[in-house]
Amino acid sequence: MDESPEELNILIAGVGGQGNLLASEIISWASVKQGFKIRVADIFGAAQRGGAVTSHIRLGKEVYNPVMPQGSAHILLGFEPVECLRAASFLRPDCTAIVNTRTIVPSSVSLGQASYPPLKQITAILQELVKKTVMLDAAALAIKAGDALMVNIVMVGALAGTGCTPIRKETFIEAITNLVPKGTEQNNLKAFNLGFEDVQEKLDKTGILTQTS
Amino acid sequence: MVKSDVIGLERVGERILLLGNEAVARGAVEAGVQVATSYPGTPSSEILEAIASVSRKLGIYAEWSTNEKVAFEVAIGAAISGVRSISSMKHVGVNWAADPLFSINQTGVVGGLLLVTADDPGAYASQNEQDNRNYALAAELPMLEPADLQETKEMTVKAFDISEELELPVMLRLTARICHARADVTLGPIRKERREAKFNKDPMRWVMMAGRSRPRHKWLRDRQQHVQEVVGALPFNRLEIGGKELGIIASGVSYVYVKEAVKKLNLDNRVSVLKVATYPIPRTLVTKLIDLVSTVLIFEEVDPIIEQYVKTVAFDDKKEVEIRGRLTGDVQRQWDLNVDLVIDSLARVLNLRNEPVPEDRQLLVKKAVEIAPPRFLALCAGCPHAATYYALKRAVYKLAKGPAIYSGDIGCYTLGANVPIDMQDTNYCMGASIGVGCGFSQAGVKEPIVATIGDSTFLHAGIPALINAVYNRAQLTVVVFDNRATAMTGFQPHPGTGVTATGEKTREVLIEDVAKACGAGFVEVVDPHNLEDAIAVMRRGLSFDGVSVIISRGQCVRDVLRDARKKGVATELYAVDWEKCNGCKVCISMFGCPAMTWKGDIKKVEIDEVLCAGCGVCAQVCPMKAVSPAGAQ
Repeated sequence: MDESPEELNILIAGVGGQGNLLASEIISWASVKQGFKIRVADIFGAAQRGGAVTSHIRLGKEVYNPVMPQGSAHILLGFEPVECLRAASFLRPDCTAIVNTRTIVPSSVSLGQASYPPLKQITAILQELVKKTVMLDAAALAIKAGDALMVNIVMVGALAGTGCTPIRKETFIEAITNLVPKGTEQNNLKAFNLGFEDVQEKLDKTGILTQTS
Repeated sequence: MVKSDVIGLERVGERILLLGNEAVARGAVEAGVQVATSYPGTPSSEILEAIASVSRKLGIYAEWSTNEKVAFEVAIGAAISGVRSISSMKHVGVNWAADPLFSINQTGVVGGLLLVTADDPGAYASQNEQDNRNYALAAELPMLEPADLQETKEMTVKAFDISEELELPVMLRLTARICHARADVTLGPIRKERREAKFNKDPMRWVMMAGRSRPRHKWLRDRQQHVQEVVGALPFNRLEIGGKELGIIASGVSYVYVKEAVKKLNLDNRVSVLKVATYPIPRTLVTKLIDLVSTVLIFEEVDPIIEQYVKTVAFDDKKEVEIRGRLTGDVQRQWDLNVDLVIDSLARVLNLRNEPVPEDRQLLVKKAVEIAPPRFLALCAGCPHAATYYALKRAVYKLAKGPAIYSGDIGCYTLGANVPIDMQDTNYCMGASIGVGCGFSQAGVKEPIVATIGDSTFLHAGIPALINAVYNRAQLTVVVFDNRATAMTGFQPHPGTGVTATGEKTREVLIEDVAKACGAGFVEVVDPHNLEDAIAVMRRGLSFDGVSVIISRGQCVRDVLRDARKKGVATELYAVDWEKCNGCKVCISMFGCPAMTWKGDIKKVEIDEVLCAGCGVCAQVCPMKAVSPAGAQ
C-alpha cells in the first residue's frame, strides 16, 4: 500500500468518441491498485456522439465527492485543444496541462456559425492560465502505434511521463493490459510508451517539466 | 459499457474499482438475486449489463425486456413466486412501470423485489429531470437513496432484506452522479443458495380487481407504521452533531457535496448535518435536529420533498424553526447541485465571506471559455441515420408539398434535432412520434406528417400507436430508423436483433412483419446507404393515402467498425478531389457528416482521416462527384 496523496485532482477534457472514459478507467484502476482512495465522475450525456466529455478523477484520504469544485484541478489531461479552454474554470493556477494538439473541428465551425481559434492563441491562453503546459500530437503518435483510436492511451502515457501522479509506470501498464480489448494489448502498450517518451523528452535535465509548446 | 465480470469476484474484503451501476449489480449478486430485468436508458443501463455478464456463472436470469413496464412485471412474477428479483431503469422508465407499481404495492411480495430508478437531475441525458422520490411517496413504498458507492452496494443488499421483512417492493433511487461515478468498493460475500420458485395461489391477495383491492389498500396503510420503524432503524440515516448555528439536511450525492463544503469552509464546529438516506424520512432524527437549531438548510435533488416534510414535522411539533432550501430560493430551484453551489448557499445563509477568484483570472477564464466554439452532439461519421435523414429531406423536397412536420422520438436519431439536420420538430417520450403524429393528422394540420422512430423504440412503444394510426385512419408516414441496436445507451440488443441480453440467439422480431400485422397499407424496407433507392421509396411512402411505414435499415456504424476491427479488415476511407470540389458545402450544410470539415483558406471540403468511417454516402451526396475512395487505410 502506497501513501495516499492529501488531494490530487485530475481533469480529463475531450470529445465523445476519443476514448476519454477508458483513459479515466485506466487511471482510476491503477490508483486503486496502489491502494489509494478514489472518487471519479464521468460527465457525459451521450458519450459517443461528438459532445464535450469530461472526467473528474480525485485521489486523497479525505475525498468524498466525485465532482471537483471550480479551480481545483492539479492536472489537466486535455484530449482536444478547445476542450482545454472550456475546462478553464476548473484549473488551479499551479495546474499542469497536458494537451493533445490535434483538433476536432465542431460542426458549428464547418457551418460557419463559429470559428476555431488558432492553436497559438489557445496555447498562449493556457500558458497564462496554468503554470506548466506540455503539448503533443497524440493523434500522430497513436497512428504511429498502429491505430488512430489509441489517442487515449498515448495521453495516459503522457500523464505517466510527467511524473505528476503517485501512480507508477508499471501500474499504468498493468491497468492498460487489464482494461483494453483482448488482442490489442501490444499496440496499446506501444501507444503508452510513445506518449511516455514524448513527454520525458520534454522534461529538463533535473527531470522537471518546464514550459514547453 | 461493462467489459468484464468483476462484479462476480469471490474475493471478500478486497477493495476494487467499481462504477456506481456495477455497485448496484454487485449488491444484487451479494443478496442472491435470481431474476434481473431492465430496458436500457442512461444512466441506468450498466446495471443489467453487469448482472448479465455473470448470469451464467452464478445462475441468475437476466433479460433486456421490450419496455420498462414489461421489465417490472417480469420481476413481479418472480418476486411473488418467492424469488429475489431486481428491475432497473432510468427515471422516465418508471413512468411506464408506474402502472404495475400502483398495484404491486397493494399485493406486496414474497421474495425481495427491488425497483431501481436512475434519475437524471439536470436532465443531461433525458427529456426531463423528474424526481422519482415522488413515486415512492405516492405508492407508499420504502425508498433508499445512497450518497456514495460503498453505500450503494450495502443498500442494495439491505433492500432485499427489508423488502422481505416488510413484504413490500423497495425502491432504490440513484442519480447520474452515483450511476456514473467510480470509486473503490469493498466486496462482501456472495449469497449462493438459489430458491425454488413457488407461486402460492391466494386470489384475495394477488387478484387486484374491484372489491378485492379495497382491503389491500387498508393493508398497505396499516403497514406504514411498521415501515417507518424498520426503515428508520437503518444505519444509513445519520445525525452528525457539530454546532448549533445551522442545521443542514442533505440526501443522496448532495450529502458528499455538503461534507466537502463544510470542510472547505471550516464549519465543523458550527453546523450539524443530518444525512437522510431513506423514505419515509427518519422522523425522530428530524425532530432531534430541529430541537437543536433555529435554522435548517436543505440540499436535495430535485424537488423540495425533505423540505416540505420538515415543515410538516415543525408544524406538528410546534417548533419555531426557519426552514430554507429550494422553496425559499436559498438553493437553486431546479437542476442538479455541486459543491460550488452548496458553498454559495452556505456562505449566503451564514453570511460568510467567500474568497472570490481574483478578477484578472476571472476575466482570463471567461475569455478562454468564450473563444471555444460550441460543440453540439451530432450523429457519428458514417451513421446510417444521417443518410436516412438526408434521403428523407430529399424525398420531402421532391414531393413538392412544402416542408414536412417531423414528430420525433427518443434515441440517437433525436440528434437530428441539431443543425444542420434540423428534422425533429417535437420530442416528448418513447413512442410519442407516432401518437403525436396522429394528433397532427386528426387535427387537420396541412403539412405532410412524418413520424421518426428508432428500431428499439418502435418495439418498446410504437406498436400500439401504429395500430391507433391505422385504426383511426391517420394520414401519416412512419420512418423507422433501424440501426439494429439500442445504440444511444451502449448498443444493447433488442427483439429485432435476434440476440438476448446474455448473448444467446433467439427469434428475430421483424419490424416489417409487425408493421404489416398492425395493418399499415404501405410497408417497405430500404438501405439508407443506397440513397437513390431510399429516396424513391420514401417518395412513394409519402404519397401513399393512409399510414405508410418505411424501415430504413443499416447497421450502427460503431458496430460496423467494431466488427471490422475484430476481423482485421481495413476500412476504405474517402477523400475529396479539390480539383472537382466547388465549395458548395452540400455535404456539410445538408448532409452534415462530422468528418467533413471546411477549409476556409482554400474554400474546399476536407475529410478527416481519423473520423471517416468509410460509409461512402458523401460520394453520393456530392453534386460535383468530387468524393471517392482514397485507398484502404
